[in-house]
Amino acid sequence: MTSKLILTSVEELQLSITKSINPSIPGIYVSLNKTQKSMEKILNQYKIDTQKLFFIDCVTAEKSKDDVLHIAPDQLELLITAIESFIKDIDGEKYLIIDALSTLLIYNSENRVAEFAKEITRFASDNDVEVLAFSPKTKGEELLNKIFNFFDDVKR
Amino acid sequence: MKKLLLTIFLILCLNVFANHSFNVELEIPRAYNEIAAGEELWFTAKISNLANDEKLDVILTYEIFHEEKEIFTKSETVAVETTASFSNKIIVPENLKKGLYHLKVKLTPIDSDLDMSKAETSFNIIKEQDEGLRRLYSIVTHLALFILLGIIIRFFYNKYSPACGKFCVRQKVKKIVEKRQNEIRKK
Repeated sequence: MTSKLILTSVEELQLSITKSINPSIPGIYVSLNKTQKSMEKILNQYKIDTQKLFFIDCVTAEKSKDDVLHIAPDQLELLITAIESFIKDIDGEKYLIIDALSTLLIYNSENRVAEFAKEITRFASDNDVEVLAFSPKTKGEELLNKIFNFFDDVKR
Repeated sequence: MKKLLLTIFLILCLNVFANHSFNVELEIPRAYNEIAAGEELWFTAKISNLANDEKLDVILTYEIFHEEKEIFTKSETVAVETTASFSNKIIVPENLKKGLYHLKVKLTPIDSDLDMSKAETSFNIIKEQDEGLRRLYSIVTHLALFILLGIIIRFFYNKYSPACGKFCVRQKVKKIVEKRQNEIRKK
């Protein structure tokens, strides 16, 4: 399975994410820009079934649903643990979406985020899981230069 | 000669009274004449300051004796002008056996060459504290404290330990995936 880094404009970010969701297989959605509640609303507007989407909400600690995991964006160790746990526990084919990698720079150092990206892509690759990481083109140029090599494919 | 002897006698009498010028009485109310070990013993010490016009500070020392052996002592300092009455209590030791006990009070004037005065009364211990019950209370108290300590430690450990944080995350993920997969299977 491949890992893709998709760089897009801020205006098109949401649409790109929405188009990448595959409702027929389980997916792990790491939400760094919007709350799980808002994201689900947007997806429902596009008539996308979220039944098979497992959300990790890194925006709010407010518990809206029992089956949503809330991890603070500065707790990268816990975020890695959560992603790895989902990958291990979900049966069959699955994929991982990280909706705005560069948002992590607000809460963590560049090197730390680069380490995070490396760890996640490595683990996903070992477990045959497709990774789709999104980032606005205009943010975190230095970071993107550091993490390009961790991904199989970089799409601009 | 007779007059001289009489004068000497009067002077001696005055000296005697001047030195022993406190009268002490000790009284235990009827309700406290018979008590159990570990209970309160209430009593009243009545003091009369005979012969002296001025207010004097005195030390009252209370002692409990059993078979001529002192088992408890307690002191307090009070001021006495003419008469004074002090109610007080002693919590008798829990390990006392049944029997007759004596409560004594000694009055010692402070900064004065007046003599000490004493009084005594008695009371009965009719019931020893149940050893078994005491042990049970002790065990239950220790157990409750242990459990409370465990809860407090667990709370702070869960809150602050990163290792526990990862474990908790794994457990939560497991629960979420199980629940969702069951829901999908049912559909």
